[in-house]
Amino acid sequence: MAFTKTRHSGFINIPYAKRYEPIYLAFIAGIAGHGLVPSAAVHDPSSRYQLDRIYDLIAGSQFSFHDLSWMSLDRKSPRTPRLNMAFELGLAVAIARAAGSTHEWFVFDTVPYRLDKALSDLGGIRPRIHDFTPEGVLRALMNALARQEHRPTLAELLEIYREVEKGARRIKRTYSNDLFDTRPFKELTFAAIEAAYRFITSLSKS
Amino acid sequence: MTAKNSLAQNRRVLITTPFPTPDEVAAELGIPPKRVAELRQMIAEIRAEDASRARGRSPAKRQPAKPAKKK
Repeated sequence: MAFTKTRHSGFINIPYAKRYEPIYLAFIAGIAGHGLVPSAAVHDPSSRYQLDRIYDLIAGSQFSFHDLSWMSLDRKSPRTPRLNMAFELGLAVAIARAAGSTHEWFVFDTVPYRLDKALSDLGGIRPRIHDFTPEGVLRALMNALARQEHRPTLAELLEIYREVEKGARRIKRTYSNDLFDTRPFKELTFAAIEAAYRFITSLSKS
Repeated sequence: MTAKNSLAQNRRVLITTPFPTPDEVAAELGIPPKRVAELRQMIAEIRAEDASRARGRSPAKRQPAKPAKKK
């Protein structure tokens, strides 16, 4: 199977829920801060099948980041668990294992050893643990990624996050209350890369 | 099937690709140049607000402490 890879993109797989907004913004900031272009299966009004779209997005990314920390039932009736994150992780694992693939995937959770029980098929895989704060997510990303050049520090990633978060507030004030939509996602990604060039010392000097 | 990808999960990966520029990212995401200019303006405003707030907190702007009253 042949995949067209955009070498420097990172697919974000997290629950699209209000309380996950800071986590979502931290993933955008942290991934952009490592010189990758974030991608995500944000709401898309196009008529493409969601499954095809998600598959292509993961297959087109060099890395994917899967936050499996949502393990409760949602509030809407009928109350259900959210299975999308685990499903998308399964897609990423299959894509990574296809012949010739160089895709790499990373799992995140907030509770150590919980995935051993909830998703025992991942036995031996150590999820990156964060404490459900933006700083925790950035630390966990730094534990997964390193750069040869323009390696960001935690302080620099936090500055990028703060600027993205302010951009998100502006977007909410001006045109969209839903940050998990296509346009806000693209514009937050742009803001994160702009911020990286300002706050990562070696980049701002280059 | 090898365990390559599973093992990779437990280590840190090294990114060697060049850092994309904001213009490259805007083009890749299909953000029109006019909107890019607006976003840059928005970012500049955010930074100006931050700078203004920081100046407001700077020690140089603070009022000198009043001398203690003599008892």
